[in-house]
Amino acid sequence: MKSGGVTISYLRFGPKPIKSSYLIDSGCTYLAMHKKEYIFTLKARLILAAATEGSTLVLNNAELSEKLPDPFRRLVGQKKTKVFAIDAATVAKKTGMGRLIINIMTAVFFKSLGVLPVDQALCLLHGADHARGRDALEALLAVFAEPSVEPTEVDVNELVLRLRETSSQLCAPLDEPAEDDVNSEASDDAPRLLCSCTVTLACGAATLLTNARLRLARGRVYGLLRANDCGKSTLLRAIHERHVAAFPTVGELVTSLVEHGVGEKPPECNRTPLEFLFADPCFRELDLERSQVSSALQPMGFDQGGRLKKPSG
Amino acid sequence: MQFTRILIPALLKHRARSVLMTILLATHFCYLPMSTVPKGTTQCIFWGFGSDGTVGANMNTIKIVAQNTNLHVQGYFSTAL
Repeated sequence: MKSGGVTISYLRFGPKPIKSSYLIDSGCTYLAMHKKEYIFTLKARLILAAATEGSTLVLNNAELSEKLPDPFRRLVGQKKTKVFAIDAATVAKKTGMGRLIINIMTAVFFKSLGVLPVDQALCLLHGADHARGRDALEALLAVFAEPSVEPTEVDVNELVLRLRETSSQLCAPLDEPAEDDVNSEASDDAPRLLCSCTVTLACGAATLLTNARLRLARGRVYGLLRANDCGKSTLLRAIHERHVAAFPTVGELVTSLVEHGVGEKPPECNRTPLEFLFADPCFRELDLERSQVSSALQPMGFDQGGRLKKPSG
Repeated sequence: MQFTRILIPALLKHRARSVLMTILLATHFCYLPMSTVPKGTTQCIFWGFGSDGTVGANMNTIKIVAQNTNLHVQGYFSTAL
């Protein structure tokens, strides 16, 4: 196993012989995420694909207050997944197990599924010499069984930092899509992306952007706000001249750069976007009707005359 | 790449192009669940970080379950992504 890479372990057990020689792709009742960063870096559909309705998801997550990604919350809501979070690193430290979060996560697994009596399982797991850690774990797991009960013992109170059923707090209700999301297609991880890449931008000797993340969705209107001379127009020009590698090529996407120089050229604001577009010889070559262009612009927030109504992104 | 039921629709779609592939399917293809996992089987997935002990511990777990219960077990461990 390559150190530092993603590992996936698949376990099946049941009363009948198992002859399914394929990975678990459905009907998974117990999911454990031992590294919380995966929630943010991997697609929700990938993580929760196999989960069945009402499955259990245990997160090793110290910061529950951190907002989980919207697609993730939506999927958790759809699948009615019960989300538990445990700060395994802290528990491991306090129970004398050092960095071994896995002991805690395994204990939670045995407690949650009840495949063996927890007592027996922990004995087998850690041997007799881990008695101290085992006591603490048992107390901890007693709390895990009843997520809504406040822990009373002092030691356990310290240990159980965030061990409560959290699906209600973490998951947006189904009928109420998360904000910022009304325009994009529901239950889609990636609303038709135009480009998603990193940009490094320099102007002369000055570096304006270093590995900045550029993520643009189709059908949205974006505004670029920042102080003078920070590189807004330079970025737009770089996109227009296709210096941004991941941006769709000229053949796929037409860009127009409208500059209204301050104190240099007379402003072009008197023209509507339609007039501007048709003034461009390249655009005229496309041989489009005005009404066609106008109706194509409307879903993007332009009105009949081709003027921008209100920026939405 | 493992062959799963998800691939069957694609296979059917492209079967005209492929002379070599002949797949006989008795029943239940396309989007119907065609799981061969026996009823009552518990399935679990663990996402770990290489060298955090997840894989080793789960090997241990499945052995504990096999040796201390009457259950049938199966485990698979991958680094694929």
